Amino acid sequence: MPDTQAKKGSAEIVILSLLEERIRHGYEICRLIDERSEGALRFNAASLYPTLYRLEDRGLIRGRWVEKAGQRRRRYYRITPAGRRALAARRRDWRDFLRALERVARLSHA
Amino acid sequence: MPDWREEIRRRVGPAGSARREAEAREELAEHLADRYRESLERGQSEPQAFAAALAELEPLRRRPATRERASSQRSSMLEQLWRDLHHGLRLMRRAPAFTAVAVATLALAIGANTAVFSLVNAVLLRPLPFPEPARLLVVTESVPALGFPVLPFGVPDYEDYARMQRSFESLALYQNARYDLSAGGEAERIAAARVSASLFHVLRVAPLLGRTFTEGEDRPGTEVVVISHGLWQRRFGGSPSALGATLLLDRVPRAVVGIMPAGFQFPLRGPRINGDPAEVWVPIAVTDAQRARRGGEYNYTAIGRLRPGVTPEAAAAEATSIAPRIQQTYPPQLLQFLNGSNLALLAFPLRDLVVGQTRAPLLLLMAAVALVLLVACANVANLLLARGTARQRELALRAALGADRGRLLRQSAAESLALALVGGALGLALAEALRRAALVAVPVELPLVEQAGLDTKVLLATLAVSLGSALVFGIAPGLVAARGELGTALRQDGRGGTSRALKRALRGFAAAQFAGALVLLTAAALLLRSFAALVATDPGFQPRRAIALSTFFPERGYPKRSDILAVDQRLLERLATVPGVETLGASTDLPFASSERRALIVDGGADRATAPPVTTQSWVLGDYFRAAGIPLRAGRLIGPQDAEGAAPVVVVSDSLARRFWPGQDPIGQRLRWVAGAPWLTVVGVVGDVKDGRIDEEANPHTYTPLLQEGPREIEGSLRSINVILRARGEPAAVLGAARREVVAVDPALAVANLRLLDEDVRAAVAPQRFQLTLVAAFAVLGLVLAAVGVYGILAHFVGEQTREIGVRMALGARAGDVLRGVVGEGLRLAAVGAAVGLAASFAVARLLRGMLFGVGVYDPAAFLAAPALLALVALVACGVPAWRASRVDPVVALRQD
Repeated sequence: MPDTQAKKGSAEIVILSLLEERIRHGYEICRLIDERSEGALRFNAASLYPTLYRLEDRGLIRGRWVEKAGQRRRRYYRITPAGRRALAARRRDWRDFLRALERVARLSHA
Repeated sequence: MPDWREEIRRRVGPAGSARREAEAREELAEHLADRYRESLERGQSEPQAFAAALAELEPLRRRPATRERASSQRSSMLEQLWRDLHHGLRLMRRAPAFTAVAVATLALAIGANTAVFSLVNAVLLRPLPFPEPARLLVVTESVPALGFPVLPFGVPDYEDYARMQRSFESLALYQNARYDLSAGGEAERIAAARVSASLFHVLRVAPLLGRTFTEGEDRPGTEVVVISHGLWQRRFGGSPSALGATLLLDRVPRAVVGIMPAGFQFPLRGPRINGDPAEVWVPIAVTDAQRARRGGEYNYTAIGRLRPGVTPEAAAAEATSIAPRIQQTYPPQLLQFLNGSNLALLAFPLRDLVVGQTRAPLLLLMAAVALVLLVACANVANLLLARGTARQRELALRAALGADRGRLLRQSAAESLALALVGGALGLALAEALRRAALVAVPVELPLVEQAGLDTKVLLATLAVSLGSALVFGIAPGLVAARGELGTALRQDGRGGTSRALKRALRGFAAAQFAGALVLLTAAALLLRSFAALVATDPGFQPRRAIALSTFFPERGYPKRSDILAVDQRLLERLATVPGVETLGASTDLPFASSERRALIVDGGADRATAPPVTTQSWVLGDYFRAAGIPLRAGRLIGPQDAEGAAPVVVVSDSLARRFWPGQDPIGQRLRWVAGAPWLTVVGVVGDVKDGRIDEEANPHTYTPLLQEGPREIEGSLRSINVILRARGEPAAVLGAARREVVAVDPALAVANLRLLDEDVRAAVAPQRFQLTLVAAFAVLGLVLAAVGVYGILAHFVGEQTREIGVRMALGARAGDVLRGVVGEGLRLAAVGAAVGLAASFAVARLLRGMLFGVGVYDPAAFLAAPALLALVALVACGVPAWRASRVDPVVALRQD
């Protein structure tokens, strides 16, 4: 059922989408989600990092410590090829689900 | 800048030392530092920025945590345990509502268990309050074929046995007695025991003050007495001058030679014969006449202390071998009564005599209360699991921070342990309150309850029960947490989702609660049906509007038969003048307490071979049958014409008439007690009366006129009389006047047991009432816990599925469908639980067999009512969450994301 699929993937699709663009560190991901959703979606450290670690465990993203001149070292995450495939699949699921909602519940007129 | 790593370490709690943890901490610290810097840049103050940074760890803490003790990386096991427990307590403080429910559930269950266990401990587990109690055995006679599985000893038989046996180093004989104790003021009737001088030696109990009896005092005419600690306090204010003082017992002065220590009880309460704790002990002083009359009376209990090295089995075998040798000495007349069956001698542990009857009911209570505990554990497990989903982000974070699974399991266990220990401590307090309440409600027959208290064994048991229940309710949530089930689904809305495995666990525990509750309900329903049958039993007399009183005419003051009969009649005449008395009569024994059993010879010797020719015998005076409300079935009652010197008559009970003269007219038949005695002619048949226990068949009963009895009986065992007055109206109004009339007859008489006859009926069903009350209370407790449990998880599911329900309703589902869905889910749980519970109930019911009266073990009413009640409660418990679900507004539900 699309609904439960969507539920599971909603956190992951957001993170994978942000990492699709470029590598980012955790704080940046957090801030971007806040900005782009205009505050509708919120993450904090307690909710973000466990998801990141799990995505990493499943091989969808990879983190690496990077030291830049004049800054302390940070851990940056990049999306892996498996991650891109997973993201594409998630997007399909969501699109199907939203279409279904639109058709049935006429959300676009609400 | 704050030390973020330290803040994280303190807040996230202890974790394992995986390399991942250090990295994760560093990364988190960077995150918090970024947040802090950004807040400052936005113009917030440092404390504001600090708070904002810490809010990043929000699900981990709501209030500032107390500072943990600094600890080295490699802390000792004990330190770790302490930290884990501390962590557990902190979690409890953080969720006060959850903690309150869980702790209250545990406290109730553990408290009830502790209270019942303290009873079981006192009655069944503690050694009897004598030195080396395992060596104390009781010896009795027995003629099962005649309806005497246990027959008290006769004096000549006992003396033969004492001479022949080699198993015991010491033996004693005793018998309960009652005395009028008078000293100046009103007389009171007190429980006493006539005992062999050797008794105290057998028990190995020394007096607190003075001495016990010498062998030389154990003969008629020695007027000495040993008194209880309680009587010493009551009558002498605990003064040592009580030694040597004189007590008037039945108006005979006796010198106090000894005072027993506090807590000494003998006979121990419990046995139906000779089972009343005494306040005074007097020498048994067997007379030569008693020694000579073999078969004349069987009233005594023998107690002995085994020689070292002799087993109870060996003593029992020896007793069995001695019995035929005693029977050989029986005169032909006595052998005739044995009717071809054999006399047996039984030797068995004193403990069995005292607590044998109570073992099964107490174990039933223990089982019931243990079941309540299991239901409570399942309930708390579900609370923990459901809350676990709410805490999943913390757990996920901790798992991500590198806490290894063992560690998470241990911390989960620590939380359970903290809950159980707090619950156990409260339970202990509750148990003490329950115990006090129970001691008031406990039926008098329950032996040794005075010992009940919170001793080491009870405390240890409570601790064990608490730890054990923590194991039961903590293991599943712990495993789920350790498997990371809780952390697999994180989402932006911060609400937990429940994994499939977790849902299975929640459902399993909910169903288990229903199963346990159903078993309890079925047991309670069976006991209730049994109790209803018991209360509805016709005792054979009419207790309503009747009062009873007992009095005793001692030899000093009333030496001769004529004196006794005269005062008996004067008493009835005076009592008849009490306003409001409709009619009155007297009997030597009253219903529920008729102990005089006699063998009888029926004229013509009908069916000697099949039925034991034994009857309960009472001597009556005045209008006894009408006063007691015993109905006349045929012929006539005993009346004024059956006076001394008139033809001897007897009135028999229905069952006796049917047994000896089936199909014949009993009126005009004849019976007598011994060969050569005058025949008694049956003039009437009356209804059967419960002469012993209410849940046993009435024995055949004979009634003869007291006035026609000879001096030996009247001057011997028939000195006490029980009067029943039937009132026209409110019987309580007659009580005071009745007492005044007795005192008017003789101011020195003790009026004992002045009471409404209703009280005797209530007392007769008191043990069953006690048992039913407790089991029913446990059943209700189990049911409430199960209802709260299923309500809780359904509410949890519904809360979690709000969005899904909203979508379904947006897709066209109607409120009714949603309602049905949730109720259906709840009822499925109840049905699974009920199926398991029903199967278990059938097994449990068989254990109840010996405790039920007038109702089958598989009583259909009980087996239908219990599940029906369960279904009803389940329906209500499901209804609230279901109704809430059906009210979900799709728009609101979807906007939550």
